[in-house]
Amino acid sequence: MSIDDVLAKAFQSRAFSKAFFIVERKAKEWLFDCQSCGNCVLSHTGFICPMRCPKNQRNGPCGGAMDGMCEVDMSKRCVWDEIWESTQQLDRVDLLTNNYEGPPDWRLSGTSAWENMVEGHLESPSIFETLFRKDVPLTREVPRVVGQIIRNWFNLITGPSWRRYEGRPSL
Amino acid sequence: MKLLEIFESGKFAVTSEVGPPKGVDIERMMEEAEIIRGKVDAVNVTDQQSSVMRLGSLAVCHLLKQKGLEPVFQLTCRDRNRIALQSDLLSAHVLGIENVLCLTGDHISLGDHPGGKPVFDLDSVSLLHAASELQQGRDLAGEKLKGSPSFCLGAVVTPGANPLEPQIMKMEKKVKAGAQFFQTQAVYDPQRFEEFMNQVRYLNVPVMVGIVFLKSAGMARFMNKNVAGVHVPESLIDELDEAEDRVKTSIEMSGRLIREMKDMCQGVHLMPLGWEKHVPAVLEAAGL
Repeated sequence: MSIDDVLAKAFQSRAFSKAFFIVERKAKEWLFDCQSCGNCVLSHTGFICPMRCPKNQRNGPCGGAMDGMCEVDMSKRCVWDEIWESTQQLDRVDLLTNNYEGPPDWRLSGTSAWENMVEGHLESPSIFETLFRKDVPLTREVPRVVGQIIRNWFNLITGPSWRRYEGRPSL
Repeated sequence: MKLLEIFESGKFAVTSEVGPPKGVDIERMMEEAEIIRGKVDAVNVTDQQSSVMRLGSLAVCHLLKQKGLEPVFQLTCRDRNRIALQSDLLSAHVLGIENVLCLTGDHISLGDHPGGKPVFDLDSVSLLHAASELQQGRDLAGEKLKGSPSFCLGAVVTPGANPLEPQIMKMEKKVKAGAQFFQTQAVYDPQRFEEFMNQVRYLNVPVMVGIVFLKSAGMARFMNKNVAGVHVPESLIDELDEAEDRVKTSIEMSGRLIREMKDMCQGVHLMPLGWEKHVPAVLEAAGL
């Protein structure tokens, strides 16, 4: 029995489903500034939520970023700049290039992405397929991914990192 | 006529654009369109440019088509959800509009109704995908259509973006989703554009280099500071600063840029921003 099957069975219980969602939502809000769209693609986008982008861009940057900052709010980094950086640090850029992300199903907004995934409501590849690379031992891959999530979280709460750019405008 | 036919014939394609007015007085816009008649292969009609509420792109495309000009219908994801976007694509087809440029669109907060609800239900990639699906006779929900439309689908790319790799990644997704040609953000640095073209050669898709007429040194400095992915080199700014006849220098400059980049790409997209009357002179200076 795979994790999918176990979870699918557990989600049949209304109490479990509800409790799971409350924990999932709060955890993802804290870690990723999750918008609870229910169509989660975090495992493809280097654990940076693309729905944080003011234009909800799920397939790539819009072309409105100035020196890596968002044109809608110049005090924030372009979400796709963060995604690009994070996937590069994880060496998982292939997940961005190879996956066409279809438009989100808005009926799933405000529901558990895990439940939607195990019940087959999401079209994008399952998080179990994309979370860790198959050809790398888990003992190395798990700390890498966890480390990246912590690094992203630190970036999220400390605001834009200016170190990477040359000739950037002074704030 | 589809723009694709021009690319396939091997001819260097030229497009320009007109901006619908804020209001219903279309006289001036139609005059501007008349000036470029016969000089360009098609005319882009912007869709609520800069998120400013205006006359619609679809209606203006229809007017141009009636006058015998070839429109390129710009369609953005900012104001319409997937139902409205697909419906407008069907409407465009029955009005005889064959070229569609699919864009994400500027954000609403940068326009004149900053408090409006941004839609962005689809993005430019999924909009291209939707248009391709319609051409296959089904919609995004997989429902069968009664008669399917046919378009030449275009998209945009910013060659001056930093970092450039995610732009190229998205460009590749757009090609896979059905984009048949690209128009670029304004380019003023032929050397950088050549590097960009070398990087996207593998996509094997026609690219039309974007040229915004530099009306003054002040405008160039403003664009450097405020327009994403656009870099005007200092040498061009100095040239405009020192010019005796600003208009003449500007026309000569745009012409020179086109001449320099002509062999790198398959067409040019002019964005005159009010200087429509100078389009013929620029094309002459470019030797087109």
